Formats: sequence, structure tokens, C-alpha cells
Amino acid sequence: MRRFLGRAWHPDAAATFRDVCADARHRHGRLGFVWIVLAELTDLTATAVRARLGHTTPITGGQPPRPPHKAGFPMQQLVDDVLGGWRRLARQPRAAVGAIALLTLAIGVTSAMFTIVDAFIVRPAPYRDAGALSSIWLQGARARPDFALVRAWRDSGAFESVLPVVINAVGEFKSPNGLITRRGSRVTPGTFADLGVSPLLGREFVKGEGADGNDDYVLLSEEAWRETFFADPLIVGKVVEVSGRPTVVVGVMPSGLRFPIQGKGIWRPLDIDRPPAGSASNQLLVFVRRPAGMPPSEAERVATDIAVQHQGSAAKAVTKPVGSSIDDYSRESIVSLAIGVGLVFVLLCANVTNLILARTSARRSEFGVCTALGASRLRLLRQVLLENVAIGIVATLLGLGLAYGLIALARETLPADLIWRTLNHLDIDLRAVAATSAIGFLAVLLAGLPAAWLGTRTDVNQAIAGSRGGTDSVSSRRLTKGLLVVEVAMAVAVLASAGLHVRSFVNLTNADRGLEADRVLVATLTTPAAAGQSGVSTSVLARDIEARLAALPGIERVNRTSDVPPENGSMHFGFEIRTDVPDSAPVPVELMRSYSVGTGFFETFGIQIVDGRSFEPTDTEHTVVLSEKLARQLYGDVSPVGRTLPLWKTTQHIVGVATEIRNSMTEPREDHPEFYQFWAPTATATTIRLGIRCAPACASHESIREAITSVSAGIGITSIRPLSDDFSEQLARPRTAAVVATAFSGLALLATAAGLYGVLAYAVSRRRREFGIRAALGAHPSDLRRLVLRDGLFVTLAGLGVGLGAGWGLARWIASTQYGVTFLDPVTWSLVTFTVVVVATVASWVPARSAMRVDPAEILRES
Amino acid sequence: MPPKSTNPLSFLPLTPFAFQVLLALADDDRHGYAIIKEVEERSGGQVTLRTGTLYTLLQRLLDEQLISEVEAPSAAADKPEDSRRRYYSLTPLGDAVLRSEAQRLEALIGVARRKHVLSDTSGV
Repeated sequence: MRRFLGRAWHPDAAATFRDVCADARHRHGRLGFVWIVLAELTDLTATAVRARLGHTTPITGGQPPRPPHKAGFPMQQLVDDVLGGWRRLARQPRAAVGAIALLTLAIGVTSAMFTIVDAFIVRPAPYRDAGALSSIWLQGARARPDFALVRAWRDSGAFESVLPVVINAVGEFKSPNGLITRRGSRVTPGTFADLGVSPLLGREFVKGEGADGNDDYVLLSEEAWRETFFADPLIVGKVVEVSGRPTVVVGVMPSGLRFPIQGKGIWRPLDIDRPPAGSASNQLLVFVRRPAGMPPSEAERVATDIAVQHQGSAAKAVTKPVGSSIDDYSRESIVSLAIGVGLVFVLLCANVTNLILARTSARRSEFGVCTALGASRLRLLRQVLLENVAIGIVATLLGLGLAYGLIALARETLPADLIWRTLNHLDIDLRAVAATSAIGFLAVLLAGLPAAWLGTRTDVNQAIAGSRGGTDSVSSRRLTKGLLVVEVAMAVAVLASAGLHVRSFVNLTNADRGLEADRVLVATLTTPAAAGQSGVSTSVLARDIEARLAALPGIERVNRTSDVPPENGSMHFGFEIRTDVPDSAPVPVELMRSYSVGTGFFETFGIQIVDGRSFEPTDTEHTVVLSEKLARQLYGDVSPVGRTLPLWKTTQHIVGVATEIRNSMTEPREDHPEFYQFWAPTATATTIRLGIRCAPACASHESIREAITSVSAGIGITSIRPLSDDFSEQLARPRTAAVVATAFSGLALLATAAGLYGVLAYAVSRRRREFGIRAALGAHPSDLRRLVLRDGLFVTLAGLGVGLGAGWGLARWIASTQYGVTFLDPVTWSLVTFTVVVVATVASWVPARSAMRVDPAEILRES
Repeated sequence: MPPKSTNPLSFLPLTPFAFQVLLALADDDRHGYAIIKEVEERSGGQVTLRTGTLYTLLQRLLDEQLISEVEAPSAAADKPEDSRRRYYSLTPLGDAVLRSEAQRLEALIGVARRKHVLSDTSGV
């Protein structure tokens, strides 16, 4: 304000303004102050506007002197043009409303997609100087960062900071509904300050917290604080029971913070000089902050040198920017959907161009008269563009609202495991508003400029002579037809991509996964040990529960297991196995999932034993079954049954080979071999999972609950759910991709049909005279219908040709990212062609019928 | 810059605000805020000048050379908070315009009195 006043007049004006305000506060109180400041600001605004319009302040009491009309002075003309445009829009609102609706749709959908692409792929993680932050790990046999190496990296001083995270923190919290398990990570003191994230309440961990024997501290996420402690404002400093131990809550971290990946959990302290018991280094992730000017390659070189010195192996350190945890499938799906949205955006803009062109063409005679009276082309162009800008502004505002709604919908409906793959909060923020405005501007330019240019190109004589209603200019007809061809082509491409997504999802749903998920329930229980009660052996409990459940009618088998296939087994990565085959080299294993299971596990989950046998009650915890993939990896074509396997410092006895379990996405890159151990639960195990195979008529969940709790009152039931739900959840991403792609293709098809209908209907109304004359000269009504239908089908077939060509390339790429489809999928392409032709015919039929009904006598009378 | 008009009568009648501002400067040089205060106090709060209105008016009066900028009085110049202040003073032309306007008003008031629109005791 001071700068404005100082610039407009003199710093004295700013001093005066300040004194007036101070005086008002002193003399009139707060309300009077507000009133006077408002009056002052209104006066300043009015003065500034008057000055901008060239009005000078009168000092004589007569008529104020009018500002001299300067040649080329644009403001008054501009105001006239804006008012004129507004009056025209208000007089004929239908076309404007149509254009606004289409543009709103285009801007809203595109902005929402931009927000998603931005949050998942483009935007850096929401941490201080995220570009300098990388995750780091080691490649190479037997190479894996441990606490000693992390200390070596830290002490080398090569990095600004080294942030180790152990991703295995689990806390059992008491709640009115039983025990709630919250997962999270162990982080070192100062981690959040380094990331630039401040606690919502309390503080983060401080030095000394997290050392072995002194780690009973917890930081809650805002969600955990709200859900478990009902947003207790005095939570900081309280001692709460976590996994049976008194633990101090030191603070609450803000909602939306996902570090390292998952949110809504907890953080426990970690001191890497004296790591607490249970913080195993095989679940250690390490992040480093590079000093300014150090490129990632240099960081990798330095880290590799230290690792080689420290571990003495040929390890190579690899870094990856923080925030890019999105998997290939999701990234490719999001990109392909974004391309689809881009196509829909252009398609809708093409539609709007046609609408505006029709509107501008209808004013050709008016423009002709204006030109005859001396209006320049520039002035006409400006008039039309101003109208379009007004439409664009309204559509952008509405589009922003639509995008906001779509993003809220996306937050609710996108699969949870996709949402937490971004470290950013999915919301319409300033970037999205800026992008929406830019998209709106682009849409108005794309849609309005060609229409304005062609529409205002008038020949005075021709325009006035043709004012009785003839046909449009050749160039505008060409543009209209060209746009329609583009629309049909885009619709074909979008439809083809949606078709492939849907086919892929159907294939995934029906794919063989190596187990039978139907009629299998999974019950997750917490044992009395989880609540801090000891003295009851978990293995005895598990056996009793199995026996009690197996006796229920409608239950065929019950089996205890540490984890549930297909994707929940414990992960073991980056190690080597040397088999007992003579002269065999060590086999590196990148990633393996292990399951600790009881007898009858394979039968319960419908996993076939292809060699040897499954577990028997007489087996020990060193009896193991390998999956086919692991057996092949370790022993090639030789049967491993009966062999011994030295692993984890003991000798394992292999008794069988089971079919490979495919992951839910049946993605070979994500498929990891399984390793099954016979389960002997320890007395202190806190969780038991049970696989329950039902008969066709299964026992009710209530009777299962009753049977479990009748064994011991100390058992908590976390959940009982069908195994197929797991698959359904894991298929949520391809399902979402298919649904979104189908919605876009529906939108594209509708917009194309509307565009075709609109253009043909407009053309028929412009060609009424021609049709009347043709009818008078003996043309049959069906001839006229054929004429219009031919026009519609011509652009449809041309669009199909272009679309099949363009869609070919797109489909080729999409097919490579999807499951079990080829880009030449005949079903998809036939359906696309059929749908487009049918929709185009229907859209052309109505205008064609109205062409048939032209009455030649009426037309001749009008002439 | 020469004045656009040197004939005081060509400025008459003055607008009420222009008259008030010139009147405020009749007995002393003042800065913007002092003008606002003077007008407000003299009119018993009946006339309020807003900052934007005042400064556009001052600019116009400067353009017409009815007022001019002057050095701050020595007492004010010593105060650091007044160093940014800009003081205005009537020019001879401004003084003549003010007098002409006052005479014009006086003549009008005389007419009103003669026609008994105003009694002799009701002062202005």
C-alpha cells in the first residue's frame, strides 16, 4: 500500500493514509477503524480507476472537463467491446452455455489428471531441498548396508547428512475395539528437522533416545493421534502402553507426512551407535543428503569406496531420488491415462471450436455491415476473442471446481496402495490452480482463435448479399470437417486404449495364480503375549484354535501360517545360497519370500505339490518346501527333494516342491520365489494367522469368532476376511485404470457424437435453401437424407482411418504395459470400429431427417 | 510551466472540496494530513476528505498552479517523522482564486439574506 501510494503521488500520501488510520483507531474504536479504512480503500480504488480511465479531478463546479479522445486510446473501446460481448452472450445463451459446459469438462478433467500426474510423477518429495536427498543401497552379492556401514558413511563427512530408517516398527495400541496394530519406522534423532518437517505437537526424538534399553518413545502420525487417542491435546509427554510396554509419546507429526513411504503410522527412535534390540539391519533403508554441487554419480562413487573398504566385497552403491517409489505399472498406467486425457482435451476443444465457429459464421452479415461502416478486422477479431475469453474465464472457474470435486473423488476411490506411493498430498493446490488457468488459456486459444480468425474474414459485398442464408465459406467448412475428422480419430484412439485396459483387467482377474483363493478365509489374531500377558504358549493356543475351528460344520481345513500368500511373506533380499550339489557355485538370490506354515497349509490354500510331499506333524522347523522357481534356480533340472540346504546358519531339509505363486499383477518382474518352513510358533509370538478352507456352505463369521474366543479370552481378533478380497484389493490398480479409461472413452464418444450432431444440424440449417431448391427440382427426400448421412459418414470414415493409424502406435505402447493383450487384439479393434460407426450414424440420423422435411414451397416463399 | 489560465474568474465556481483545500491553506502552509484535519475540525466533521480524493485534488491544484510545494517549516523539519512530509502553500493565483470564490459566495449569501432565505443572525 505504501509503495502504491508513494508511486502514485508521494510518500507523503502514504504517511497521510497511515495517520488517518491511526487517528480512526484512536478516536472511533475497532469498528470505526474498520469502517474508515474500508472507506479510504474504496476512495483510493475509485480514484485509481478514474485516473486509469483518464478522468481528472474537477476543481471548478461546472461540468468536469471531458478527457480528450485520443486516437487509438483502447480503454473505452475495450469497455464497449466487453459490454457488447456480454450483451450478445446474454441474448443467445444457448451456444455460450454449450461452449462453457464443454470447456469446463475439458479443463476440469485435464486439471484433475494434471494434479495426479504432478503428485505421483513430477513433483519432488515434500521435503527440504528434496533434490539433494536420495535413497542409497548396495548392489552385488552379499552386499547390504548395515549399521556399521551407515556409521562409516556418516563419519566420513562426505554427505551433508545420512538418515538410516528401519522399516519394522510395530506398535500394538489398546483401543475400545481391542488392540490396534500400527506400523511404522525407526528414525534417528534430527531426521525430521533435516527433512524440514516440524511436529504438529511436541518435538521429535532427541539425542540419546533410541539407544538400546532407552527406546520406549513414540512419535504418532496425526491420523494415529486422532484415531487412537481421539486427538487428545495433552498427549505429549503422556506414558501410554505400546505392545505391553509403557512408552512416552514425544510428539505428533502432521497429517500427510509419509516417511519413508507409508503414512498414518508411528515412528520409534533409533540410535545407530547403539541400535535397540529388534531393529534388524535387513530392514534398513538409508537416505543421504548430498552437499551442494555433488552429483549423484559422485555420491555413488564415494559411498561405493567406503562400502568396499568397510565390507571388503565388490559392492556398488546405487542412489535413487527420493519420492520415486511408484512402480512401473502405476507409472505407465498414469502416463497412458494422461495421454488419454490429453486426447479428450483436444477433442473437447475441437468441439468448442466448431461451436464458436458456427456462432461466428452466423454473424458474417453483421461483420460485413461493421466492416462497411469502417470497423477494422482487428476490432472484429478482438470482439470475438473477448467473448471467447469471457467464456474461457467462466469455464476455467467452473473447471477448477470440477477438478476439485474429481480429486476429492479420486482420493476416496483410488486404491490405497497407490495413494501412499506418492509422498505428496493429493490435492488441488497453487500449482494446480496455475495449471488450470494455463490449461483454460490454452483451451480458449485452441478453441477460439481459429474460429475468430475464419469467422471474421468477411467480404462486405458477399456477406451482405449472402445474408439471406446460404452456405458457409469454404475455409470454415474445411476447418469444421477437419476438426470432426480429428475428433473421430481421437475418439478411436481413446476407445482402443480403454478397450486394452479392460481386456487386460479381465485377463488378470482370470489368470492362474498358483493357488485357489475361492472359499478361503484368513483370520488374523493377536495373542495374549501381544497384550503383555505371558505364561500361555502361542503354539498350544494355535493348536487348540485349529482343533476348535476344524470341528465347526462348514469348515474343511484350518491351518496356521505366519503370513498369507500371495504377497505377504517375509522378504529376504540380496544374499547367496550354496547348495549341497558338488562343485556348484553360490547362487545369488535377489529377493525371496518366506512363509512359516503348519501341516495342511498347501491343501488349505490350494497350492499343488509338484514333487515330494507337504509338511507332516512329525516335521521340525528345519523342514522346508521350495517353490518351483527357487528349486530351478538352485538345482536346475535336478530334484531337490531329500537334499539338504545350508541356510541361515542351519541345515534345512527339503521335502517337497510347490507350484510357483504368481503375484496379483502376474508381473514377472514382481514375481519372487517362495520358501516354506514348518512352523513352530514361539511362546512370545504376538500374531497368528489362520487359513480356513470352507465347504460350499461356510460357517458364519460369528460362529468362527465364538469358537476362537472360547479357547482363550486373551485373544484379540483383528480381522476375518476372504482371501479373494486380497486379490480384489491388489487388482484395484488395474481395475481403476480400466474404469478411468472407460470413463474417458465414454466421454470422448459422447463429445464426438455431440460434435458431429451439432455440426451436421448447423449445416442442415444453413443449407435449407439448397435443400429446398433440390426438392423443388425433383430430389426425393431420401436423396436429401443420403446427402447429409454421406457427409457424416465421410468424416467418420476419414476419422476412423486416421484414428486407427494413430491408435495403432498408442495401442502398441499400452499393450506392452498391460497383461495378456496384444496391440492387434481383434476383439478390441472390431468393437472400437463398430461402436464409432454406430454412434456416428445415430448422431447423423437426426439432422438427416430434418433435411428430409424441408418444404420447398416454404423456402421459395421465403426467397 | 506557465499557468494554463491566469484569470482567477476562469476557475469559478470552485468545487466544494477544492474550496475547502484552498481555505485550509489560507492561513498556513500544511501537509496532506493537516489539511484533512483542518477541514474536518473547521466543518465540525461535516466534510471529510479521503486520502485518494485529497491527493488527486492536490495534484490538480498543483497542475493549475493554484498551490505550490514549499519547504517544511523549521520546527517540523527537525522531527524525523515529518521528514517525508510535503507541505503545500497557496500561490498568488491560488490566493486570488480563493478570494474571488469567497466574494462570489458572499454575494450569493447577500442575495439569500435580501430574499429572507437567511436571517441576518444565521451565520455561515
